[in-house]
Amino acid sequence: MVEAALEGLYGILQWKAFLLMMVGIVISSTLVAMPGIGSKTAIALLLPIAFTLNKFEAICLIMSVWAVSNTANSITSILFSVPGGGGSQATIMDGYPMAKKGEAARALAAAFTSSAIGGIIGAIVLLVAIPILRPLVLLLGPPEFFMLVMVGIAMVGALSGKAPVKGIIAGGLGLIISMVGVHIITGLHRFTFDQIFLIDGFKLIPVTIGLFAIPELIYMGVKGTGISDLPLGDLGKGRRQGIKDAFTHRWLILRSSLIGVWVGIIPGLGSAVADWFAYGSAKQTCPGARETFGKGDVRGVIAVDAATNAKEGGSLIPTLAFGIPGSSTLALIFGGLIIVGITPGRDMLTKDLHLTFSMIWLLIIGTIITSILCLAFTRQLAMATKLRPTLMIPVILAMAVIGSFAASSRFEDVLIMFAFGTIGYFMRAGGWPRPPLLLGLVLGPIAERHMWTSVQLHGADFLWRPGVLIIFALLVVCVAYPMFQDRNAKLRAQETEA
Amino acid sequence: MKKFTGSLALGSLLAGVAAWGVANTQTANAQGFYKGKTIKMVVRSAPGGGYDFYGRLLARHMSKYIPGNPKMIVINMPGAGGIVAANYMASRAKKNGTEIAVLTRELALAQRTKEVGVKYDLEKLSALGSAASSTFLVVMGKNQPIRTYQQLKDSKKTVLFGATGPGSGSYQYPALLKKDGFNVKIITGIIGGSARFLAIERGDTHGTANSYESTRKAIKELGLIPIFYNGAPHKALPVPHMSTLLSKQGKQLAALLGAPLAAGRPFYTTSGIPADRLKTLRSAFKAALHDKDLIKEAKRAKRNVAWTAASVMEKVNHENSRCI
Repeated sequence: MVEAALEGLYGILQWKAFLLMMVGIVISSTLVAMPGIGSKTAIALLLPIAFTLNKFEAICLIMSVWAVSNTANSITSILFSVPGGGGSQATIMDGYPMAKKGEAARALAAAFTSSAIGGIIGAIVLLVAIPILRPLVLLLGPPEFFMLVMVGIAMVGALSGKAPVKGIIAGGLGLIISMVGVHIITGLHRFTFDQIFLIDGFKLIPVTIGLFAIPELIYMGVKGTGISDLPLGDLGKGRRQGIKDAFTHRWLILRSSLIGVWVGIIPGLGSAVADWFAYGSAKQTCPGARETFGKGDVRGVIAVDAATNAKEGGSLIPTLAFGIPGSSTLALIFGGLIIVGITPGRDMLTKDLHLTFSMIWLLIIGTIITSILCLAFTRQLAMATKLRPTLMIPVILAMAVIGSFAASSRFEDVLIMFAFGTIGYFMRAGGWPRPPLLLGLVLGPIAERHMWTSVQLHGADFLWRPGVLIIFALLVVCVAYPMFQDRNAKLRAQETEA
Repeated sequence: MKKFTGSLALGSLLAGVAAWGVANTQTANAQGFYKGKTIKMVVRSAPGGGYDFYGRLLARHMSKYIPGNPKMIVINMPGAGGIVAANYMASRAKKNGTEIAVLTRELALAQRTKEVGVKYDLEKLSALGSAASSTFLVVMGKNQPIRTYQQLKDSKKTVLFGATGPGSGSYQYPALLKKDGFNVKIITGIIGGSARFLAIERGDTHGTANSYESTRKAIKELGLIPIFYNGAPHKALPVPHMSTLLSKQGKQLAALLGAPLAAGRPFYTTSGIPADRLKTLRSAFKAALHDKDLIKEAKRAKRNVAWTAASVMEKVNHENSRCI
């Protein structure tokens, strides 16, 4: 095993392979970091080049685009409230308020650092899990998935802050919106009104951009100041503080990373869920978080970025254990790797173990290099928050339009983005929490699908499966623990008063 | 006799010269037209996946067989299971031979069942040919008793088939079996071949139907057992073709499901293209699919390449969009 590990490391440290990894990293942190352009598009464009490479070089080029895309995705989330990708939505929650407070450098540095650590943790879990990969994936069936999604929905409460009723309504609205389109299980057209662009339903990226970016633009225009009207302070100091923050909250990073890995392992939960799971869990467990989260608490950024990057290590597990890609991006990657003679599946754990190790090394090294690169540019990036609105609004608006359009090249998505921009503006103005709406949109179809399959397989008895009951217990703890904490805090406050 | 041979020779010569002349003007016309132009290759799905692979493969290799060597760019136009791209080709695309599309193989059926949003008439688009044939396969898990078609037919215990949902092949095949009197139940909502294989491995379901290309690896890795197949024959498949099984009505339905598989990756251009230009595109398409580099690339990606003529495709489309 040690030999395979060394061989894998040696393979990707060859000058040509290393150079290709750098190419992948640069593409990933510039092109893929733009909203709406996913790593899948970049990989599809790079595949023909991979035909001419050897195994290690192909791994370096193709996988690096995918492996590090999360790190740079946070940039636009933090600076402009425009998510760079599906997995970086929750970064907006505390990252953008930090930027508004003039702490953009600190937020970016914390995001990049925790992203690096999260990526490393993901890779280590993958390494440790190698002997038990198969049972780990088989542990969960549709009933358990359903209950896991319910845990996610229970987080709506946590994400609603002081307006739980409004939060539940927003979540319900998200669920309804998620139903628009062809119901994939029955083929029914729901709320499509015979409009062809509604057949595929509302896409996540235009909705998110609309909900979060457009209201900020309106506010920025009305106020007439840049993103932050507070002095930026010493940017170098902010960066140092951000790095320090990540290490101070190392247990939070570990916890969030494990959540990320877990979401990654389970094929079918989807990448847009990990960030919200981590954010919700951090909000429920960090001391004082209920007061400060959403107002620019660095812990909110750290938890999310660690989880999204750790997820990638986890998502390699089903691919390596069964030869079955955990996501469509991985299917594309392994489709490309087959061309150079790498076949996913059991061979990856025996004969080709050195290739598996090279992927693990790539996750670790790539993630560190990306974070260092991003950290190097933190100061320049943070300055963007001081630009005057007459410059910022057109730029961000263009980014929002291109991002919405690029996701599936449909003009209607731009209209959807503006429609949700209007909804988002009124929600923000009226104190309605927006994340539950997004969570409903993401989790609705997953919950529906797994419940449907569970009922077909087991009838109502699916609720009594041991796995389901264990996860349900977890759900109860998730909901009850913060309430219990609140009550304790109140009691203590009364005692001190008395 | 001599005279006759002589006139035959003269006739052939004249015909040859005439044909050469026509061909030459055609090439000259097409060359004049395509020189410095860009051909758009519209792909009916997002980047990644089979349709995208074939679209990009042809975009890389077709240009060298088109006189004038136009540039070729790929544009992904996903949506509504390929209906968006087909509508685009029928209405908005330039009708001069500079836009080519790889469209969904089941479009004819969607047209016949009058799916929401269908605004194309497949028979009005000009077919270029198909780049690959496809095979659909019914497989069972290794941890359940059924090993053959007969055992599946005679099974007293209900056999559970994982499927995405109606409209997908994974649903249509077990539905056909059910209609033919087999004791099967379809479990829907398990989306994607990989999820269905995992459901079998976990013991949730017993079998599934999937394309051979995406199942080949799972047969090796998870020990799945092929039962029978439909569509293009494969040397590596030691199981019967669906056309030799089932009842009379079942066979008819199997033939209907199998027809689009023959033209598994169909390419089209718009209507209203000058005949010589269409001919140029069709022969370039055919030549590209016999190109050594293209075949080598497809082989490395483990994708099959099989040219189907436009006329065959048109026949299948005609039958599938009109008959019954």
